[in-house]
Amino acid sequence: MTTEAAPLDTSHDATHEEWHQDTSFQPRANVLGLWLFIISEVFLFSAFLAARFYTTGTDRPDDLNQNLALAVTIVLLISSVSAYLAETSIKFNNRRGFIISLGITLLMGMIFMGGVTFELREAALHFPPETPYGSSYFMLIGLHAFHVVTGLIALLIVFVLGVRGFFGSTNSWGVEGAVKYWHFVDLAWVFIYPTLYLL
Amino acid sequence: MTTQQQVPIDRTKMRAAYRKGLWGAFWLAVLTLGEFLVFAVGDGTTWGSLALIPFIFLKAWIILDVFMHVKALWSPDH
Amino acid sequence: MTMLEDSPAQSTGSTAQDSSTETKPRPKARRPFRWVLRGVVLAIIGWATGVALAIAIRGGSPTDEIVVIVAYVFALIGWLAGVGGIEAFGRQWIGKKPQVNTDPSWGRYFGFSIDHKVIGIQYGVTLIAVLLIGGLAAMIMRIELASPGVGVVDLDDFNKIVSMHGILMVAVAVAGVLGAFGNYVVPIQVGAQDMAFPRINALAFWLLPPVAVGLLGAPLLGSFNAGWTAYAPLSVVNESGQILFNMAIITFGLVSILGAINIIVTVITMRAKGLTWGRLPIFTWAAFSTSLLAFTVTQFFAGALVLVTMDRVVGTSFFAPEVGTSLLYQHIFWFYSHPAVYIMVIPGFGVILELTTTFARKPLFAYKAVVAAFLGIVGLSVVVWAHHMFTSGMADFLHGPFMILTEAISIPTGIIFLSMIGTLWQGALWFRTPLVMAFGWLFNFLIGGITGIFLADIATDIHLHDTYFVVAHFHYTIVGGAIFALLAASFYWFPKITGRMYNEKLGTLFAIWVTVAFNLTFIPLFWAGMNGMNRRIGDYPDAYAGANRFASFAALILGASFLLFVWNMLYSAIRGPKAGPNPWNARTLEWLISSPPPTHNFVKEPVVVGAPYDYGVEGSVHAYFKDPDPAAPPEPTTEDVSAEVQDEALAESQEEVS
Repeated sequence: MTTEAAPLDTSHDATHEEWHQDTSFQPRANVLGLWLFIISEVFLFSAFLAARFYTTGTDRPDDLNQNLALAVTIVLLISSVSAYLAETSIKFNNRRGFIISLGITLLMGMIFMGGVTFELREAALHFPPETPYGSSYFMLIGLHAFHVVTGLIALLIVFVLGVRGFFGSTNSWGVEGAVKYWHFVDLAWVFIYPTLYLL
Repeated sequence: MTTQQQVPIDRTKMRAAYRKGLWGAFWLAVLTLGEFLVFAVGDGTTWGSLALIPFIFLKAWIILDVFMHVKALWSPDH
Repeated sequence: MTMLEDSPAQSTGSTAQDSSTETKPRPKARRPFRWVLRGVVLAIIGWATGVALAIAIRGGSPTDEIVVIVAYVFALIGWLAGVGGIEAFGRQWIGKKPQVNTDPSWGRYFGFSIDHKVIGIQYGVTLIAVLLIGGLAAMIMRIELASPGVGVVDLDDFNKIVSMHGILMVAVAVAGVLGAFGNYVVPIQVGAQDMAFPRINALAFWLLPPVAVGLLGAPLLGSFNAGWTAYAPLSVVNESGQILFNMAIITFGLVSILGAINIIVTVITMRAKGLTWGRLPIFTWAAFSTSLLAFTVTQFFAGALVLVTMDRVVGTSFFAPEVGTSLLYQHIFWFYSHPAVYIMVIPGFGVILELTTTFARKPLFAYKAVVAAFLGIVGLSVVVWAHHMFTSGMADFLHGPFMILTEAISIPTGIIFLSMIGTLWQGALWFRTPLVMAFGWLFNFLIGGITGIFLADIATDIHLHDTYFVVAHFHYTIVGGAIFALLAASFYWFPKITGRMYNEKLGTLFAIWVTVAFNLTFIPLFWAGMNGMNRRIGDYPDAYAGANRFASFAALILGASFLLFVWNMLYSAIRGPKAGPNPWNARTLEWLISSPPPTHNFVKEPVVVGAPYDYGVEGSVHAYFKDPDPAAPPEPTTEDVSAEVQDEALAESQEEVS
């Protein structure tokens, strides 16, 4: 089906005198585009946070599992740090460090997802989605979990490519993008955790 | 972004970058525990809720600055 | 790269000729629909997989809402993979080089092309088609409303048709100018060879057909009758078509966001040498400002619809009357949907100012103030949303501030009006169809703006809320502001896009026809609304019969005018006379290259040296093309180029237009 498809890079034969735009803008464009996407996501999260405060103020049921919440918070924090280490490693061409750190990030991400799933099962017994707080709780946790899953998929792709030696210090945008997105997931949790558990 | 550099690798720079991340992680952990402590002591009170706000924004800023390199957006080197 | 065969030889703008296309045979399309077909097949497979999976896990029937959601998501993924996502994105995820469709024939319009010009045309044609379908819905509504009592459709069907008309037209207004001309024109105006993220641009477009299919397929599940606003709690309890509406509009939000991010990044990072922010063409400024709004607030509409969806399928209770509050929906919804009005009209402002200055042959009046006004509107528009809710029962203390902020937004809008009038003032007006459309726009948007004051004002709004006064008002702003600009832009850039000239007489006739018919349709509705006729209801008391019969009759005339438009566009695109590179003798970059532009827009590097709209200023020049060969004689000075460019462009335009 793809016989007519040509490679994306549009470099022509050298004899052609056509002007080609300098591609030095591309790294900057990538970073800027990702930041704009993250800002856009911030608005989605803030809509849901606003819904939580609008419907229930700062009310909170007593039977939240505080210890588990603190534990998954720490787990997500560890995953974020190791993601940072992975990104730094690949930028300095330390491939071993990169693979190990990224592996830890993936593992921690999965543990986080496991913890959240357990928490949601427990929560459904105490404050089901039909209650006002339950609505906000399930929405916010669900939205965040959705982002965790997409982030994990991105990291998994990066991990597999990394194991196959795809990335290096001059070719690290894939890692950088996925890791930045993962940090955003952590950033969202920084706001969601106190909103649901502590305030 | 700012460190799209070629070989050879600058060992001191690399170590500095690692250290920066670990310090960020340390402060995040401290703030997370502090947050929990404030919650444990001041749960249900207005000041308890208000006292959490600086913790939240400090944590957010550390993630943005240390982990996500937000300042690189303004730096002229790319 | 066989694509290059399609592009005419081109050196500098002034000598660009597109006669070379005549000599070369058009490349033949080979199996042009294979991408779309593969997409449809994979979408159907995806749908079936989703249904099977959801039923296996949860049980139920294929029309259960949770099943529909899962199936929709799978079908969407299948469709995207099929039309070219596997080659463009999937290959990269396994470490291979991505591929895209580079079909040189007309078949490229049916494939995953990353050329922003192809994508612009794809948007334009798709949205004009959606506009016509939405127009048909409007015709049915007006026929039903021609006389009191229940006529051709019953009252519930009427609500569904109103909702369908509303959402289709909102989609056209949001994505019309920005999707079609933002994609086509902005990269050329900034001197770039494509968008910053060409593949994401293509992805954004290919998300659009599922939106149209989702909305138009909703009648299979009972359609949706909650209006385009989808107000809770009705949207939580109505028929399952609402689910397809929600999914389609969330997808549409993604289109909007991805497109907006692309435009912002393109304008920030890819401007040509010398193209400072102060030299940016006004349409690019408009597209940029709009994108600033679109990529942020759009998430709120998606968020509101996600909450509705969750209330329907998971059983959350955000909008349930007993524990939740439907005011929450209105707040979140209007936080998007009021700025959305500006997402619709700011590109319209840009188009109208762009062509006003060209056809008045004068520099744009108060350029900097207009840019400030655009950014002012962007800032203000996110703090005015609750003026839609004066009668909703929200807290009293919110009324005053929202009234004042809403009225404050008429200041930047007024600046844009003044700029247009100041540009026209004592200009050497060149009456072509785009300018005639612009005059229609001026009149309509003036009425729309003035009637808006009565709706922003609490005292009058409480009387006028939910009446036909509101209907007439927002049709004057949205049709008058956005759709008229879309039509004007279609005429203005038609010679650039197709390389051919539309029929001027038919064009002018259409412009006058549509303006007159539009006004005849909606002026009577102001009267009906002031006298208390409710909107969104298929029946009304006999007292309003006269105004409605008149409006219905005029609406049919208005609808008929679009046949003329479509005929003019289609016929001229194939048979129209050659237009030449610069029929309007305009100065922005897109007019300095051949028509239609070559595949990579610029064969030589454009360098910007002056303001874009200094019409009639002695010796001024906006841009010239740099010679690529370093051994060649030094670059000409700006004066030489300007004289050359302007003389030859003028000669050409006189030859081929008049």
